[in-house]
This record gives sequence, structure tokens and C-alpha cells, in this order.
Amino acid sequence: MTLVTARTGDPVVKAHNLVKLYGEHRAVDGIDFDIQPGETFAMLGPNGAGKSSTMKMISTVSPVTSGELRVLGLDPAADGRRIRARLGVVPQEDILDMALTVRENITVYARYFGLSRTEARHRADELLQFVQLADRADDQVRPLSGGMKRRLSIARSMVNNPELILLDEPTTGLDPQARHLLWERLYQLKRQGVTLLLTTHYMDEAEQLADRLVIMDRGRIVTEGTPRSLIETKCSRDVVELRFGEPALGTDDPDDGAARAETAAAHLRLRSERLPDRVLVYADDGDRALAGLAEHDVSAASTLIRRATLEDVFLTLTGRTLVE
Amino acid sequence: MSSSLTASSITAGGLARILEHLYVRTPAKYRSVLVSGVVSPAFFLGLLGLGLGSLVDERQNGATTLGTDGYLEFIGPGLLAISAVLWAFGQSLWPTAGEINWDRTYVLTAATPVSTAEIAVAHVAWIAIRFTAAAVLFTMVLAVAGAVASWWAVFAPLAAGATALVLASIICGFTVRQENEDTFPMLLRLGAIPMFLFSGAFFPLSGVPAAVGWLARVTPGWHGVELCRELAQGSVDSHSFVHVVYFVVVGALGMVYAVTGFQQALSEA
Repeated sequence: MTLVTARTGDPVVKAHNLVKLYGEHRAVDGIDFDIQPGETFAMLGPNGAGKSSTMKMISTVSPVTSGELRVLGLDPAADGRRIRARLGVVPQEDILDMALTVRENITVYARYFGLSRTEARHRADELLQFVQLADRADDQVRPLSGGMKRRLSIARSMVNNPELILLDEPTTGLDPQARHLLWERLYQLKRQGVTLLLTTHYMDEAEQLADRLVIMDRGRIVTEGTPRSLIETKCSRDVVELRFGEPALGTDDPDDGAARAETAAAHLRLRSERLPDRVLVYADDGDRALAGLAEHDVSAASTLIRRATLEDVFLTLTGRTLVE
Repeated sequence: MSSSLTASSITAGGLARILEHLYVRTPAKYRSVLVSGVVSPAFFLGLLGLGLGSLVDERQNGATTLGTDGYLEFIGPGLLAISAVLWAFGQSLWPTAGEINWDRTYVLTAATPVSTAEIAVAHVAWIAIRFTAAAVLFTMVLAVAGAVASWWAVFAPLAAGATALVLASIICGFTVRQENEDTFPMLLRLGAIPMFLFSGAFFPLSGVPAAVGWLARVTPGWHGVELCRELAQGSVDSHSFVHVVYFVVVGALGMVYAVTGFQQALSEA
């Protein structure tokens, strides 16, 4: 395959002050980022953060309102066809042709990329092997499980040997087993040097897959870095979760327990976050923090000490949870 | 992708790939438009052309009133064109919205090297191509039934196909601009039914109020009916040329309307 961005180190995607307006609504509000060859880059954020709008601009389907965007070194406004010829796209929902077989869903798509019918069939069989659907090649699509359909979508996106694959919420709606199988296939792609861009609102997915990520909120990039560095620099090592149950008759309102926990955390010089169902206390040593809270008469119905995640980073930076 | 319509945004290769996809994905039973394109109009032909026609011919002395030898010759080509109108309405509303909003096939197609302009043109063309195939068969039925008087009739399927193409381009342009399907039944009531009744397929427009007649004469349905009838009867003259010019001009405008609508809809889908 001839690479236009053949020079090593040229970013696969480069965005500068990128803006997308839908009417008055600023879906993407002046973001900057770049994606390096071979990198798995994630956009993490809640619904409406601007992730999918950014994806659509990169896939050249949606015109850039303002700012600069280069994909594979090309301008999406002028070189849409050439860019799309080198991209793989896995949409959020499985867009599969129910009238066709599993294999035909790939071969029909392959024709758009200029493959002959023979090449398309050969490539389809190869890809179905890769996503472990070879034994279902001649089956109809409808009876496939959600995980199988998503794997078929991924296989289809690879039909043109893409240099960059865009995955929009790749594991949303899948059960844990299907998610892990999908992640394993994406690891394989990563090992083969394919550049992956994925959007997700699952922090564990971003932690598992991404070399680097941006956290987006309301069309802006809140922060960027590696999953580990973000947790280390933007959050504490541990998080103590305190849950306060329903009050017994004649006792304090559970809100009092939560309020007491927040006051105690402040005394201990620990940052805390009050959520509708629990209070989070951020500490580098969770056990010590919990002991300190107990000394301040904080008595929760249940407690949990865990490592901080990207969810906590998002909460720390925006004051909101990823899934609201 | 460019949001404007340029010459480079539509290529023969792109159109061919989309049409191939549309052909392959159309189940065999739907690939054939025999029912809507042949059986239904043939049913009408038998019912009205032969049944009602015997009364009309007898009472009105059809040759003089209708400008044809009889009601069968009058209504036959009219049914061909009016089937194109019904087919265009049928295919351009819900099935078109589905390709973007529900099945979302075109959302995926837009991520391939073809352009959204090509998607729009191929979509409209596919509606017309399928109908034209059926129109060839129905023209044969007309010939067997004795409703055709000239070899010009071999062009009648193209005229009917052009009617479907022009109308489909306009309706598809409308469909892809709608947020939901709530307006579709209204378009059927205000568009399809009046065009079905007042395109001159079943009775000459000379019998309707002048305003209705003029309104009917700006619709693709009327031009389709007139052109199909002129071809079937061999009465091709300058009027026929006006119909062709109408189809070219309105078809071009309709296609621009469809293309810009698809570009907008797919960029936001």
C-alpha cells in the first residue's frame, strides 16, 4: 500500500483548534490533538462530549466548521475519497445487511474499495478467520449474537487494510465475555501496527486498550495523557467509597452521614466527592484514610477501598460521572 | 467530504459500486417489481380499459372525445405513467428514510470512497431502473392488449422511467430533510392521490376546472402520462419535445435537491 504520510513520525491525525457547529450548538469546541502511527488513542467522555462528532470529521463524513484537521496528511475537505480509501470505520451501532450472509456483508463492502469479486471473497474468508467467525460465513446475520455482530463489523472495517481504524463505542451493549474477546482482537490489531482511534465512555476499556487518551466534556478536551499518568497526576492512588444506607426509624437522615464524612475528610485534608448514592474520599493510603474517618465518627453502611480509575479522574476534573 | 455539488463528486465508478450493492442486497422477491409494475396496472387495465372502457366508448364515442381509438388506448399508456408516480412515492418516502435513519446502510456507505452525491444519485436511479424494467414488461402487456398503435411505444418505458426518476429525486430530497416520518402521510394525501387522479390518466383534463388543469400540468405525472400516450399512439410532435425538456430541467433540479439533502442528512446521521 502506498502511504502518503510515509515519513516516520508524521501524525496519522492532527487537529488544531477544531470546531464543529450544528446550528448554534458547539458540538466540538476548539480541540487540539494528534495521533501517532501505530498508537491506540482513545476519546473518553460522556454522551454529548463531542467524541462522535470528532470521529465524523475524521472519517470525512461531516465537514469541519473551522480549525485545522489533517488525516493521513490529507485535508478532509479536499481529499475525502483518498482518506476514506485508507480508513476503517466501525460505527457505534452494527450497520449490517440482514438480507445478506455474514461473508456477503464483507464482500459487498469490499467492492467499494476496488477489490475484485475473487479478491473480496478471499479477503472476507481471511478476516472471518481473524474475528473467529469463519464457521458462520454462510449464515444469515440476524441470528448472530451482539458480540459476533460487532466482530463482523470490525472484520468489515479491515477489508481495505486500513492504516487507521475508527471504533465508535466498540463494546457498548456487549456482555463481559464478548467485550474481552473483542479487546483481545483489538490487541492483535495493535500488535500488527494498525493505528486505532476509539471513543468510549467505559474507563476500563480506555485503560485496557489506549496508549494515550483525551478526556472530553462538552466539546472540549479536559485533559490528555496515558491512562496511568492521568490517574497519578489528576487523582490520588486510592479511593475510599462510603455508602450510607436507609436510616432506621428515629435515627439520623443518611445525608447527615454523608455530610459528616465530607467534614471528616476535610479535617483529614482529603478531597471528597459526594454522589447521590455514595461519598468518595481520595487518598494515597486508603486504609489510613478509612481509619481516620472512623476516628471522626464516620460510620458507613458499607465501605470499599479501591485503586483510582479514569472515572475518578473525570469526576475530579468535571465534578460529574461519565454515565449520568 | 465536500458539502457542495461538483462534477468530481459524481463518478461512473462510484455510481456503479453503489448500484451493485443495491442490486445484491435487494432480495430476489423484491428485485422483481412485477407486482407493482406489471400486475397492478394490468389489473387496472383490465378493469377500466376493458370493463369501464366498453361503457365509455359506447356512450362517448371515445375516438372523438379522448383523442384515441378507444378508452383502452387512452388509459393503457396513462396507467404506465401513473404506475411510475405511485412507485416513486412508494419508494421515496419510508424506504428512503430507512436507509439513513433506521437501517443506516448509507451511513456506512458514506464511510467508503464513494461520495454522498453518488449515494443520492444512485439511490434515485435505482428507484427508476427497477421501475423501467417493469415498464418494459407492462408495455408488452399493452401491446398484446391492443393499447399500442406505434413502434414509438418502445420508448414508452423510458418515458415512464423518467417520470419515476424526476419524481423520486424531488420526493427523496424532501424525505431526507425530514426529522421523522410524520409528514409522509400528508405528502401521500396531498401529492400522490391528487397526482394519481388528476394527471390525465383516467380522463382528459379538459373536463376539470381550469385551475386544477393548470396545476396538474406542472406535475411530472401529467407530463409522463402525455408523453407515454403520445409514444404509444405514435403522435410524437413538438409537445413531446416539451415533455422531454421538462424532464431534463426538473430532473436536474430535483437531483440537486436530492444530493444536497443527502449530503446534509448523512453529515449529521
